[in-house]
Amino acid sequence: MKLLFTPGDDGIGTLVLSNPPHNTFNEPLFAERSTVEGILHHPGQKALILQGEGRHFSHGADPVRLREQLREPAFQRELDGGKALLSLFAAASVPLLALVRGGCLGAGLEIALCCHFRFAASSSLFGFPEVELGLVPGFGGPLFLDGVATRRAAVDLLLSGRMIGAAEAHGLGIVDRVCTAAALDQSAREYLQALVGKRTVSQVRAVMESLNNARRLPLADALQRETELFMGVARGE
Amino acid sequence: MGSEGSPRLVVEQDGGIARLVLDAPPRNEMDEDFFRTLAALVGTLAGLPVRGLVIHGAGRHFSSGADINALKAGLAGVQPALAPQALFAATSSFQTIAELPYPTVAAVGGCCLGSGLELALACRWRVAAANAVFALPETSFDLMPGCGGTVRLPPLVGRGRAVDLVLSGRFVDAGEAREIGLVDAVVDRRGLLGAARRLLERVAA
Repeated sequence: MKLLFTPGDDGIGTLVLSNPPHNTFNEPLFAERSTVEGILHHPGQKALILQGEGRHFSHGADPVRLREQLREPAFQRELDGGKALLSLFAAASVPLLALVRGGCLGAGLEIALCCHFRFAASSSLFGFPEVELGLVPGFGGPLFLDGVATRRAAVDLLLSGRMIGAAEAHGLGIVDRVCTAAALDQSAREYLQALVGKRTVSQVRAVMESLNNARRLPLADALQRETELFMGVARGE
Repeated sequence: MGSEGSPRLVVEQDGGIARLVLDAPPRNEMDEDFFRTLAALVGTLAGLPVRGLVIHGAGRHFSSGADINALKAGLAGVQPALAPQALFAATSSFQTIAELPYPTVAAVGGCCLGSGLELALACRWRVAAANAVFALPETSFDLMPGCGGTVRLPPLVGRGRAVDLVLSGRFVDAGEAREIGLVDAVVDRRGLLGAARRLLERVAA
């Protein structure tokens, strides 16, 4: 898996998950931590679009390869490393939008769920096929589904392993917007432009930090920090 | 029935339920005086012998929030009272309301904007009239929410929607507010206070 990052002149960057044709995750630790941090903190950027190379978003891990890796002693540590990368995405200081075409399965769906928004082509597919192989999603999918879909929908997807289309994923709250594959890119850019186009970089980062603090800091600390962030933004820092 | 407070902010008690009325119509704007009065008042709220509290605006609106121009003047040092301590005092007042030892409901009609919405978010529940509109428009004024909004919103509506609402500053009507979990019920404008009161009587019975 390669992460191909292109910063945007308008502050809206693009990150392509590249391992065609299915953009599978060959290793659980799919990138260097510093690479991901560099992308998420790239100067001048106010939003980031995540997409797959070619026809698919990502089909997740290769099940055959995964079976072999499970026997390796270092696997658990690498899996934790991979999950830590997803936590970086989930706590990003810019809004992340997953632009989904084709399959968005397993670890692919888990990384899409880390994003704040999911825009999908009407022909896209979502699911956790690893469940059918006697596994469970290993990248935090059950945690990231919480708060996106209802608990009932989460249990359904996580236990049945069934594949759902974009329309059903939209109905369950997993996908925010469905459009034709041709209109997808423009739809995402227009949305993000309306969201952050008039905001400054420091404003976006202050808001995102405070929203992230809601679940990573004790309430009293998060409230105190919000005041500091507010003053920073108000002073134009 | 008893009543106390300043002309801007009135506390009334009736049948075991208290009401905190934002009383500066038409918009029930939250200025420096409002926050000072609130800070002095919240300490006494906890001691009220009541089973619940309804917070609502006098007249058509809940509150349009802080006056952005006054706020900016304050931040520029024209009104030195609006220092970080003053801002955090507002947050602390809202937090005191969030921690009251009885259930609280914001009964929201009309505009519920900025710090007005942040006050409503500090309540346990929000009941909205069909004409209610909600927004955290601070980012549109080169600011950000500063009275707990960014902290209280994500668990209520989910982190994606929280990002959307805070960064866009867009207005949400009562129907959408219900759909995304920002409010717990939508009722007819005339039935608003009755519905808020019944909710408290039901849970505190």
